[in-house]
Amino acid sequence: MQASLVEIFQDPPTPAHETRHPEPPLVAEPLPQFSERQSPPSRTFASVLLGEGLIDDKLTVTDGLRRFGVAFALAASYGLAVGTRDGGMSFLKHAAAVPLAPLAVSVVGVPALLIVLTLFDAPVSPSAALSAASRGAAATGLVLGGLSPAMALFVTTTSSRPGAAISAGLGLILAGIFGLRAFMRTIGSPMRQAPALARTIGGFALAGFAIFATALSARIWWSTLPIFGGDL
Amino acid sequence: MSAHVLARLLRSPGDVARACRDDESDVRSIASFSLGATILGAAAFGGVVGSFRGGQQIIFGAAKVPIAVLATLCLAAPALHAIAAVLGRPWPLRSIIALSLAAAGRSSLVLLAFAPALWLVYDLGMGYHSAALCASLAYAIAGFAALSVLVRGLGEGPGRITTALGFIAVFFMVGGQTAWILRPYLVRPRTTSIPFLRDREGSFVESVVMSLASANGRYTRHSYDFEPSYEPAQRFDIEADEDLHRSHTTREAP
Repeated sequence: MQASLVEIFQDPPTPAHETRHPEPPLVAEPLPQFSERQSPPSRTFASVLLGEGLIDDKLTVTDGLRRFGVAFALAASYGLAVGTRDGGMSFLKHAAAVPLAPLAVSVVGVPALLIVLTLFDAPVSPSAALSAASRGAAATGLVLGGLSPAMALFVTTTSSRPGAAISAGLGLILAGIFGLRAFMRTIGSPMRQAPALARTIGGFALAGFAIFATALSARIWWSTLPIFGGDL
Repeated sequence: MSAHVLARLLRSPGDVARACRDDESDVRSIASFSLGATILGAAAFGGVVGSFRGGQQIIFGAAKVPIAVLATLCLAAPALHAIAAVLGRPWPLRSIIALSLAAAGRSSLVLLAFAPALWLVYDLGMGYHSAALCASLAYAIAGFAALSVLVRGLGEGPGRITTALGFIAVFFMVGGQTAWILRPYLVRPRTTSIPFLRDREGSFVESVVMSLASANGRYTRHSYDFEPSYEPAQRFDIEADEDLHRSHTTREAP
């Protein structure tokens, strides 16, 4: 029996999935129905890309490289979005230039940091460094990929070039902050059990790495992205 | 079914937000109803704002406000998904889209509720600046109604406030820019020719900065110098009013 509109507003009915009988499954072994779930699926694209837990316990080199690949592809999509302002070769130049900064930080900065931390006996293994670097790149790439549709809007509808450059730069800064945050959280987790001296020196090393990564990223993006006047 | 969703959307935003977040079985009906409510509510509000000028601006307003809202959702949803993920909520994109749609649907229902009252005060002869203020106020209240759905949808856990602030910032920036490129919405009655879109001038942020400077008495240009649709006031005659010590130098176009 249908309830009237007034009754519905006076006494909201229970959700439909509690009153309706589920339809019979079409196959013999049905997948779990959405109504049976009480929380979002634990493994989504984002959760797999960003990793679960404080650190990846069993991250193979292949998995790490795959994560880097997805991250750089997402970062390149941001470059494509920024390239929509000028079009043509600008698409390719921006798409190639944006992933360069996380790539350089991962290839140049992270091994140097690992050497310094190992020198002072900090409990950081190469696999932990790979996990942290890939997670940092993944966070940067995910944020850049998420911002790319909005950035295409900003750079194409802003009339002044400095205004468009500021918009693009803010997106890069935001993504860099999230990437650095993910890297620090991951590489910092095994250092919590370290002796006090190693923890202190490790803290200084991480702070120095943060400054280095910021400066290196800014240098690369500034000199290679055409929207800032650079050229690849 | 739509009445059920309507009641839940207005009375129990937390319940709706949880259903969207947890991807429950009724999320499809919530999303489809919210989409319809967004189009209807935003179109009604846009038409009322356009009625300040009247004529074809009613059609333009009714078309542009839903376009602005839906474009904002399309452009902001991936950013919201990414921000939520890096701040500890790696939900599926469809949960974020459903949550955004529910928030937009709720805010558009609030706009729909404001539309008759706004039309009435416009019809009673409200001035341009007061009309703009009233429309902005209604939009701000609708924004808070949407925000209540989004924040409740984040659930408990660390990073909740940061995520909420990120959502607000993204919606403000993307929504502002989208609405800005689709202007004008509120047009003075004496404007003779109405463009569907104005020329590209600066950006939303630059416009806000310029407005703040103007509010503080620092003017960089006359606001109508670059408005092609505005018909300049004509010099008609000069009537000295000696009693009040003022002059009538212009006559407004009809």
